[in-house]
Amino acid sequence: MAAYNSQYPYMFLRSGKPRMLGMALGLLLMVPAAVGADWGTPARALAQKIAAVTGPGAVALEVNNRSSLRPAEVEQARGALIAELGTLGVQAVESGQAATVRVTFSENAQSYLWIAQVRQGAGDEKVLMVSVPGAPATGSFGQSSPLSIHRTLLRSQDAPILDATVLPGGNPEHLLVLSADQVTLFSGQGGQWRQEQIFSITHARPWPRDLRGRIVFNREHLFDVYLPGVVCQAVLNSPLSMDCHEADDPWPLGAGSSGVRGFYSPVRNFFTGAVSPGIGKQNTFPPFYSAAGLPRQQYVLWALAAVDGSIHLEDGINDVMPKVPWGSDIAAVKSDCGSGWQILASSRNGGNDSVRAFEIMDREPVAVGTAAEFNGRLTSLWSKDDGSAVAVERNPDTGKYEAYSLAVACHQ
Amino acid sequence: MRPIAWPLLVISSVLALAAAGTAAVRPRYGGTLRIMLRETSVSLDPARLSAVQGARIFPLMFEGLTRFDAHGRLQPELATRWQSDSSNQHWQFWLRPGVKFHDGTPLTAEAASASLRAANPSWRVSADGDSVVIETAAPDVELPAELALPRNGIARHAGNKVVGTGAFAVSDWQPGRSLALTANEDYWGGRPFVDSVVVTLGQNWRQQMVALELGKADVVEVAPEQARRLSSAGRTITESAANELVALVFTREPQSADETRVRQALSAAIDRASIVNVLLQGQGLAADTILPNWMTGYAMLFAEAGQHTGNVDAGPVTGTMTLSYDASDPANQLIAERVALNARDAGISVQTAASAANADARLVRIALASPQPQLALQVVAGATGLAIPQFQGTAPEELYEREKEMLQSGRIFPVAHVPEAAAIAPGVNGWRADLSGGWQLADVWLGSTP
Repeated sequence: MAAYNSQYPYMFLRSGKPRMLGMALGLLLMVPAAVGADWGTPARALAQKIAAVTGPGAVALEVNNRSSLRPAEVEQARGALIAELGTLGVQAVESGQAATVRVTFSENAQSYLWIAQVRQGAGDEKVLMVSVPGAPATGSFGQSSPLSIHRTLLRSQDAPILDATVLPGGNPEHLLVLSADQVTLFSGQGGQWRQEQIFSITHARPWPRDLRGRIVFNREHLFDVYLPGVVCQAVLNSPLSMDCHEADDPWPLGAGSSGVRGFYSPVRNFFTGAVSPGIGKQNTFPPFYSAAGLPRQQYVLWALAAVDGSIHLEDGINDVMPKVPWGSDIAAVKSDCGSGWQILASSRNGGNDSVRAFEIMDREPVAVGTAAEFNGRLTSLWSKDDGSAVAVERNPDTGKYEAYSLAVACHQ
Repeated sequence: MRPIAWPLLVISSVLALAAAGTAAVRPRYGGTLRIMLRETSVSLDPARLSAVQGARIFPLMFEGLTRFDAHGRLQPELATRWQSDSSNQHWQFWLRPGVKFHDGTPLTAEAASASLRAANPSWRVSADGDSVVIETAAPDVELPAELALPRNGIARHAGNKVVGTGAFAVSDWQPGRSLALTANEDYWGGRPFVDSVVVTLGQNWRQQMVALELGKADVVEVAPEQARRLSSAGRTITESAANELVALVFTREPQSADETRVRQALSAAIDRASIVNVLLQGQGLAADTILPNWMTGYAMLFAEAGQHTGNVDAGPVTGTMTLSYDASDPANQLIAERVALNARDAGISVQTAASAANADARLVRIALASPQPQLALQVVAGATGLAIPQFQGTAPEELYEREKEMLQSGRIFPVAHVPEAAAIAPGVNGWRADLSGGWQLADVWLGSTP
């Protein structure tokens, strides 16, 4: 029986199992991991369908994401699915089994769609699906382009946000927000963040105008903070603490783990152009505001947004300067679309900034999706380790600074 | 899973630009909005529309019991609630109270029932107090979505006129030539901002663009392949979702295994990426599926299966066929000729002809009509003469299976999904289009913004 008399249910919650990093953080911070996982119900539904086809035993499980789910959410969903399969006697392994299950997290205008393609031996492939009510219906949709940029609000506050990062693997999730004078740690689920701890930033010299900063995940001590002339590190004590000291250590360029670092001027708002260990054999470039690295098979192609407004594409041998209307802020994002990596570039139209995705084809940037429009000015755009990016805008209506996680969803 | 509502985004980036300019200024009442369209409607009776017609004009005058919002979600319109029995054959819709037709007559269950009976002779429609009861011969889980189609707009015949309950009432009607609409002062949803809308019909794309350039039109349609150029030239272009299907449709089932192989080889030979990137100037998506991915979320399954990319063991083939196209759209001819060129490389001779009645196949461009995928698939099947898929429910697997069956019929070969585009003159504010291509003109207001 079908009926309509009120809004359809928007979301559903259930308890779940905390993941390792979340547990470690919970111990460090002495915070109970009380918030449950969101993905249990669809994971159970899909697991039941899969188990009905494969029966108990080991299956090779492959998970792909073509939706706007953030990497951390994909990991949670994957974990929930594996757990549910386990309760049904289906053990997910990497490969080498007769039965293969390829799970794709996709989405349409109405909902997320979880798809399992199950193949047993030489038999026909079975396609199983579960609709998961949720985010896409409240987002932009109807794309006529191969990909779109999806925004998830991470944090809105009065104080300027320099950067924000969601720590990988936590349940509940943990969010770090960098402001001029502090790092704030939040925990939470599904966008509901609860402040857990504040780490003050000490610095002797006044900050330059147009202050910029980065906060990056660190596998050994949780996070690093880079500010003009100042570097901070988390210290794994109980409780967690942070040490800052004056230093001109180079900042990570692109995603934090990309390896290449750039020296940032302690009294200005740009990178000096000196990079370490270099792009190919070259380690000096024009001063630039931002950089984005696109991994290729044999090398990383770097795009630099120079202070003079030009864009440089650098592979260590060639310097190509395409004519593109990019702003000062660019970042790299990973996706399942096109070549697998795109550049997000800011641009300005009147009073509004936007971010658009580009592929680099034959050293020419080509726009590959509709732009994500912001209400006001972008103040920050950084690549993240998990393949996403974080953008900060100042909302002209509220005056607040809003940090968004940007992810790319495929439509083809 | 995300309780954060996204900022109200967009069917297109340019659309967002148009909306952004209005943020600091309150809307103004008054003025006449001038629109030009290619279509040449000769009737204002919604019941005479096909399932794929009327998305632009009719919802301004005639409202359905339901509607789809800008995100493709089904919402109440003239009905405030509804329910079905367990068989999905017996539906009851309760009407919104206080609604009047443009001639002042109250909307009643009897009037709504009469209107729906006229549009759907196969339904048993009756009034039950303040509700409309619809009984269908077979289970119809898509019925609420069907009621949002323009053809199911509620209309009342008053003498030789047809009146609705929408935001605009007809003030003058020249069949096939022009339509003048006046703001409905008593509209239950709030009077539109503009006083009137004048729609000039039967104008080709070139005529429309000239009118826009000369300041004689405020909104004109734009060929998708022209959208990017016009946008680069500073025009405000709005774009719908990719909600039109370009496809090859064969007029009959393949009569032999050889014929099946030739069709598959033809489909595999079509360079869809070039058609989209070159002929359509990047406006659209190469299509392996009848329904676009934004509607289903599973289109990649067909691409992986090599639906058109030669995963079929076509082997060497030879064949001859004729392909007709609608010559009123220049892009159709270009696409048909490109298909013929690709076919020749595969050893198949394809003769193209404009509007040839006895052609083996047609290049069609079909509006997907509804963001509801099951209904959209049925509409495509109906428009192309394929067997109408029936659904027991809304499970995505069932939708996938029905679409797969249609593709495996050997009758339809998708080529591209393309958006509908429009150019908007400066001073037109609050523009909003829905996923199925309809224009929400009640929210449009005129006046320059800072």
